[in-house]
Amino acid sequence: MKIEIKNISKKFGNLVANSEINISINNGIHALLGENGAGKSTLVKIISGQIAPDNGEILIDREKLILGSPIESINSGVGLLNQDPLDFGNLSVLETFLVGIKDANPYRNLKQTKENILRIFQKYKINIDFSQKTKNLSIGERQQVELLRLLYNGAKLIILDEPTSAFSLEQKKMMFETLRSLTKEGIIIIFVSHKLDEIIELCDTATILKSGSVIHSISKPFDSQDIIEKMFENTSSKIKRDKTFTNENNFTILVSGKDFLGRNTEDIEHRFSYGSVIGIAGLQGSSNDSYIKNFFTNEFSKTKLVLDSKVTIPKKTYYYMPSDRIEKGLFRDLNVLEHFGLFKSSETRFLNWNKIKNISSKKIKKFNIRANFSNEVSELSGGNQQRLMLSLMPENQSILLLEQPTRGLDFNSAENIWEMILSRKSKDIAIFFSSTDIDEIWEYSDIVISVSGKSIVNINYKKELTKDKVINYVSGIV
Amino acid sequence: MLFENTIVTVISLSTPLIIAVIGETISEKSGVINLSAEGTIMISALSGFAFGYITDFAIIGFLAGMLTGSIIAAFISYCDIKLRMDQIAVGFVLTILCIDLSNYLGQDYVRINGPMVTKFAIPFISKIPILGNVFFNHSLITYFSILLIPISWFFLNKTNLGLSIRASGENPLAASSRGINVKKMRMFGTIIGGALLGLAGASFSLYTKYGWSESHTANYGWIILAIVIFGGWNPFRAAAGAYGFGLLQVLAIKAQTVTLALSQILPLLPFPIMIFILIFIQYINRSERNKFPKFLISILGGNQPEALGRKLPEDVK
Repeated sequence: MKIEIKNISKKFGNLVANSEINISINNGIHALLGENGAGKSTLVKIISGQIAPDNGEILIDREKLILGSPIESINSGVGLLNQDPLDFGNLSVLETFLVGIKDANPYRNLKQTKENILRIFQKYKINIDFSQKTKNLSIGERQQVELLRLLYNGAKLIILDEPTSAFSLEQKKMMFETLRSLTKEGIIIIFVSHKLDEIIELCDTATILKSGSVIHSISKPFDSQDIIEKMFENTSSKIKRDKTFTNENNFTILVSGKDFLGRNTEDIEHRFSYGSVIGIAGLQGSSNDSYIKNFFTNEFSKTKLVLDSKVTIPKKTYYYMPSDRIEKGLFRDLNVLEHFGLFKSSETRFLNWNKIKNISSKKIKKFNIRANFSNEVSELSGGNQQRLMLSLMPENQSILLLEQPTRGLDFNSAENIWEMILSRKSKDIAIFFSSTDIDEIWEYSDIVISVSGKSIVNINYKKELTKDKVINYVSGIV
Repeated sequence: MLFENTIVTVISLSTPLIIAVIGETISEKSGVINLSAEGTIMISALSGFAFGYITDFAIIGFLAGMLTGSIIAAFISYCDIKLRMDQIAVGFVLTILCIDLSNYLGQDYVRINGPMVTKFAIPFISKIPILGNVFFNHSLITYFSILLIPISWFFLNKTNLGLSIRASGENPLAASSRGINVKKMRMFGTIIGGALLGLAGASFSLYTKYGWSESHTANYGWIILAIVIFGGWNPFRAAAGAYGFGLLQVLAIKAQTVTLALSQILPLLPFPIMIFILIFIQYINRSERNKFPKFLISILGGNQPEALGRKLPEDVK
C-alpha cells in the first residue's frame, strides 16, 4: 500500500489553498498538521473527491485516482471519517450501515449481509445492537460504526478529520487501539488534528502545512516543542496582558452542594475580585460551556455569583456570548447594519438609521471588522463574525460570559479577538470564558475553574497551579 | 349484514385516499413535501374525467391523471433541486393555481356522464362467505389501492432503492457523500408520489365521487396531508388513518337515516379527532421517551424524515 500525492494545487479566487503539495505515505498513521487555514481541509476534500484540484495527481498503489468525484475516491479505497458523524439518526444502525454499501443488493440476502457486518463488528470487539435507532448511540459509537462501515466497503486509506473532538477519554482510547490494529493490516491512516498530544501518541509520520504548502515532513519520535515552533513559525504573540487590578470589590462564586443531576458533591466557595479573567477549562463534551451559559440562566445548578453584601449579582449585568456564532449569536441573513439597528432598537420606537450608521461605522473601525454595512453575516469569516459579536456587547456590563470565544478561529484571528477581550478588562468587570484548549486557558486566565465531566473539580488562582495540574483536573485525574 | 356492507363501502370509498396518502408518504420520505396535494388531486380529477370522457376508456383517464400529477411533481422537483426554492411556497402557489385552473378548464365537463369503473369480482375467492364479498368484490382500482399498501412498505423498507430514497430524505449530505445521487432520488420520490396523487384524483372522478363539478374534490388534499403525519410516514399506519377517515364518512351517511342532528355532526368529527391525535403524537414525540408505555410510542410515535421540507445543502452535487 502506498499513497503518493503529487504537486496538488488549488486556488479559490485569489486565495491559494494548496500549492504544489507533495506527500508520500507508505504505511502507518500519518498526521496532517497546521493551523486553521493552512490547507488541511482542502487537501482532505481533494483526496476524498469532494473538490477537484487545479492540477496535480494522486496515486494509490501506483494507480492514478480520478479526482473530483466522491464515488471514484470511494471505489479506489478512500474512506473519510468526518468530524461530526455524517449519518442517519432516524434510521436503524443496520440501515445506516447499508446506505451506499458495496454489496450490489444487500436486501436480496439480508441475513448473509447481516452476518458479514456482524463479523466485522466482532473482529474489532465493538458491541452495538443493530436494530436500535442510530440517534440512540453516543457520538463516539456513531463514529465507530462509520469507521467499520468504511472498512467493510473496502477502504484502504482512511482519513480522520479531527475525529476525536466529541470523544470521551475512554472512547478515544478504544478508537486509537482500533486504528493501530488497522495499520497492522496494511491500511494507511491520515489523521488530521491540531491536538499535539494525540498526534505524538498515535502517529508515525507527519506533514506540517502552512499557508497551503508543505513546510516540514517529520517522523517519530516527535518533539512537541519543535512541532509548535514549526507550525507557528514567524507568528509570535504580540499581546500585552500584564494589566492587573487589585480591587476591593469582591464577589464569591458559590457552587452548591448538589450538581444538576441531584447528586451530592462538595460545596465550593471561591472569592474573586472584579478585574479578573476566569477561565473555565474542560475537555470537549464536558460541561464547561454549560457553566458559562448557566451562570447566566441559572437553570443548570444552584451555582451563583454573590457579592460580599450577600446579594446575588443581578442578571441584567451579565453578558453572554454563545460559541455558536451563526446559530445562536447572530442572524445569518441579516446584514451588519441591521445587527447594530437591532442592538439599538430597545432604546427607541423608531429607528434612526443615520444615527445607527454613525455608531456602526465607529464600531466597525474600532473592532476591525472587515465588512460593509450591507454584508450579510453569513458572508463574513468566522473571525469577523466573532468581532461583530464583541462589538455588539454593551459597554456597561460587569460580568462577561464568553463561551469558547475563539472556537474554530486560526491563530492570528484568535490573538486578535483576545486583544479585544483584554482591552475590556478593567477593575469593574469580571470576564469568564470557557475553552477546551488548555493552552488558551493557561495563557489568558488569572483564575482557572477546572471542570471534569459535569462537575467543577477545582477553582484556583493560576499562580498556585501548574498547567499539568489543570490537565489532570480536566481529565479527571485528581 | 349491515356491518359487512359498511366495511365494503369504507374500503371502496377510501380508494383515492389510500393511493394519495401512500403517494404523499413516498414523496415526503425522499424529503420533499408536495404541498400541492389539494390542487394536484383536483386538476387530476378533471383531467382523468375529461380524458376518460373523450376516449371513453376509463384506463386512459387514470393514465391522464397520473401524468398530470407527475408533471406538477416534476415542476416541484425542478424548483427544489435546480432552483433550491422553498417547497412550501411553491406547493402553496401551485395549489391555488391548480384549483382555479381546474374550475376554468372543467366548465364543459360539469355533470355529464363519462366512462364508469365497474366492479370486478375475482373468480372463486369472491365466493368465500363474508370475506369474499368484503375484499374480493371491488373495482380494479380498489384492488390496486389495497395492494399498494404492502408494496410501498416493502419498497421503502426492504429494497436498496427505497433505502436510498429514505437516506436522501434524512440527511442529503451524508447520502451524497456515500455516493448516492441524492438529486435523482428526490426527483424519483417526488414524481412517483405525484403520479399517485394524480391517480387518486382520477379515482375520485371516475369512481368514488363519479363525475366532475366545480371544486369536485375540495379539502381531500389537505386531509391526506394530515393523514400522512398521522401515519407517522409509515404506509400501513397512513392507510389505517385513511380507512378510519373513510369509516367516519360512511357512518355519517348512514346516520342520515337515523337522526338528522347526528348526520350533521358526524361529518365534522374527523377534523377535531385528527387535530387531537396530531397534538397527541407531537406530545409523545417531544416528551421523555420512557414516560409512555412502549407500545403506545411504537404505535403513535412518528418518524419524520429529518430533512423534510428543507432546501438541499449547497454541497450536494
